[in-house]
Amino acid sequence: MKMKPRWLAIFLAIGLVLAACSPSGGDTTTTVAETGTTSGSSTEATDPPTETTQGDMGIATDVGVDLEAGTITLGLLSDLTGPFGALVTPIVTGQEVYWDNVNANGGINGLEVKLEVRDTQYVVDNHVQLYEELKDQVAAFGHSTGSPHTVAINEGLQSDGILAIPLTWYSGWSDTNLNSNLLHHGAPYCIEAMNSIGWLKEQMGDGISTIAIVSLPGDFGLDSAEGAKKAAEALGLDVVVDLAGQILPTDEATLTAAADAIVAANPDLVWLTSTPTMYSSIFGQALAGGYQGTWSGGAPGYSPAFVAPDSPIKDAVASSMYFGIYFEPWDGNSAGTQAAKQMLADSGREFTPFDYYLEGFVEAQIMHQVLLAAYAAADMTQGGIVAAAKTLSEVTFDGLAPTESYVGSSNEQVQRAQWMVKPDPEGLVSGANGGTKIVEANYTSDIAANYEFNEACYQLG
Amino acid sequence: MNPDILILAQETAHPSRFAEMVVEGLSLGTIYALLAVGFVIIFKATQVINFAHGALATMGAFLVASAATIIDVPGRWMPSAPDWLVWALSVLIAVIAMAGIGMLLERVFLRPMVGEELFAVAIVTLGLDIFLRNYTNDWIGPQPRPLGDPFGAEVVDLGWVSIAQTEIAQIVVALVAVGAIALFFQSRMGIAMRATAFDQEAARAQGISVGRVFSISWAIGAVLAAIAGIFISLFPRRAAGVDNTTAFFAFKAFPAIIIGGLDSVVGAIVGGLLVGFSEAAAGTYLTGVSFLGTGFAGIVPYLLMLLVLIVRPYGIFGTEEIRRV
Repeated sequence: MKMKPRWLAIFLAIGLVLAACSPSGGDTTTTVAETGTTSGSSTEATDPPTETTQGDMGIATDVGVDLEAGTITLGLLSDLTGPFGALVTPIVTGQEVYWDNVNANGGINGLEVKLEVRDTQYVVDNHVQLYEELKDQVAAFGHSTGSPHTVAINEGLQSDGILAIPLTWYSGWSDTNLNSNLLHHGAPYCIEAMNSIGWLKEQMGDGISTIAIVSLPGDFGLDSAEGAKKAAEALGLDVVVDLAGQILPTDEATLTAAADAIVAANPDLVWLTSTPTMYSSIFGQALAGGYQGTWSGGAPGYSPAFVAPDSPIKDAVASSMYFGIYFEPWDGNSAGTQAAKQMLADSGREFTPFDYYLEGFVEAQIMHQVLLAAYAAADMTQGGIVAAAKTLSEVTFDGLAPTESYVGSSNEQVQRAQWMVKPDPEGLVSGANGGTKIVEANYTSDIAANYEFNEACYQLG
Repeated sequence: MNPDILILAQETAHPSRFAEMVVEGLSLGTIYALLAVGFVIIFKATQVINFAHGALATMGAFLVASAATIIDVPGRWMPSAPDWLVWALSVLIAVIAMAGIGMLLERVFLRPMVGEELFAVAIVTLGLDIFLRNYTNDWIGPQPRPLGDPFGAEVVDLGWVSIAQTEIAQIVVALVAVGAIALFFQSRMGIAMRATAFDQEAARAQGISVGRVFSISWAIGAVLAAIAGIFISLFPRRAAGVDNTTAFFAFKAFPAIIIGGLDSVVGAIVGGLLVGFSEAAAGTYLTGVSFLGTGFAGIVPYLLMLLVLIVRPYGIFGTEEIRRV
């Protein structure tokens, strides 16, 4: 049968009208619990309109919490296939395993936690688009990957009244002017730089008197570079290469230029904040040029692939690199870390030891404590969850991460402790750790301890 | 004079930095030249602009990683053979596989497009690029895959400058590959390819199997892309192995072929080396000059391309197209 174009056009037009009228459109009215009563919205969200319902348990809900079905839905904006995919994929697994465990043990007072995971590919536009897609489905965001990405949705989070945990350690997340809807965790990039450089100076003394600072542009690279500069100034180190914000992931020439500059200046220490691919490229080229100094940098730049058995740089990496990390790595044995490792082992999933699984547990535990607080306050609306989060003055992890606080001034909230690690090829092969060995736990340098944190180290442009 | 610029000038004028720049330029240039020659051979023989070249380079490197370290073939059957021999055989397997993949892609996706608009054919290769790149990146996974080469991180000290063994191997292999291409063009198939490039209909009338020429040109193009991909993924450039950014490297082959001339193998070699040296020189002497902005060295090949296009729109060695109106 041949359909006339006119009829085809009419069918298409009807289809489009029906699609526009479908419930998956803009409005986000939650399903009302059987005995629920509808009240006005208690959140600041204005567009699209949301309705708050009061379940028979007396818990107020709007989006992402379904008392009838017994579920809480959380969103994860994750970079699964972009430059940080190697780190974020296990973080998502860590979250999934943690919530599976919580659900198997009664959930959040009987409510099962479900995750809606979206791959942003570390592209800001994708991130914003996926935020828009999920904001009417989820109670909160269990993580939001990337600093510029989280900056791009922060205004939306504030106007929509939704909570998110940044999967990024930009210092601005500890600034009370920016973090009304965000829960920071771990020492931010600039404090990390102060700690790591401070620790290396303590260990090596006069062996470190010059430094090269090389970083990506943006909140990640420049926040870290700013911390390195503050540390260099405090310790009297001579900055012999300053390529802060001067290397780009898709521009090989910038990596080569950075390696050449390092070889030419021959600094005692290189502080390099980049993606793992960029790190290995600059490291390799500088090594080939004859540079043999010490390397450190923002923790996300390190990959255990550097010390894999077939890696040509594993020996050089093991003998020259030190990093900080924001939580206790796989090598640790605190009760919290042991419990997380056990949950992974019991999950039936295939995995090899890797530090960043544990970051997933840290994020999930923060959200767990927030949801319990919101439940206790009988307000599990998106806005209620934000309000509950901001009452938490002591979020603890049983040793898996340093205690966090979400009340008080920026200076009181900012995290200053971290773990110092060094690459460990033997540990990676034996499975004793995820390719890093702890050299100092729960460390805070004097520079970081004395740093008056009143605003982000690197101000957004 | 601005004191920062003065210090920069003093530092960059040092002879060792010049020597480093030369080594860097040669290293980058030979990779770009390998990519560009493969691209030009496909274009000359089939008139297809192959946007999937970067994906083929990544796939070639991944196949070496697969053979040498993941499935350990042929290493598992040769436990007492020296490492270099096992690795060389792994590379050979990957290169043969890439030749087959190149021929398969041509036969399945490009041959049916013969006679279609060049734009439509180019879009097909763009689709192939997305398809191959995504699949290869999925196979690679989130972590880099080391290629298991026997060179490791060994470096040869030449006095003023150090050079990685892999870079020496890369330059030697590039020279051998170019020599082999030159010899190939003297063979019966090479002459048939040149005839096909000149006039497909006339070549067919002379009994040349144009389809076979197309097939062989894609095989050669894919092999050269794979060799380039292997060297991109070795120490020092991708010290941890092939990863999902390897394909980006191939973009620089485009200014190289435009500068040299889309249909000239010699042009591809010269263009590749010019791009490599210009990028290395700009990186050494212009990085940190704040008013030029971040990543200026990466723009220099494209500026050079624009300059060449203004003076010689068909590239330095390209054939000038004469249109009578």
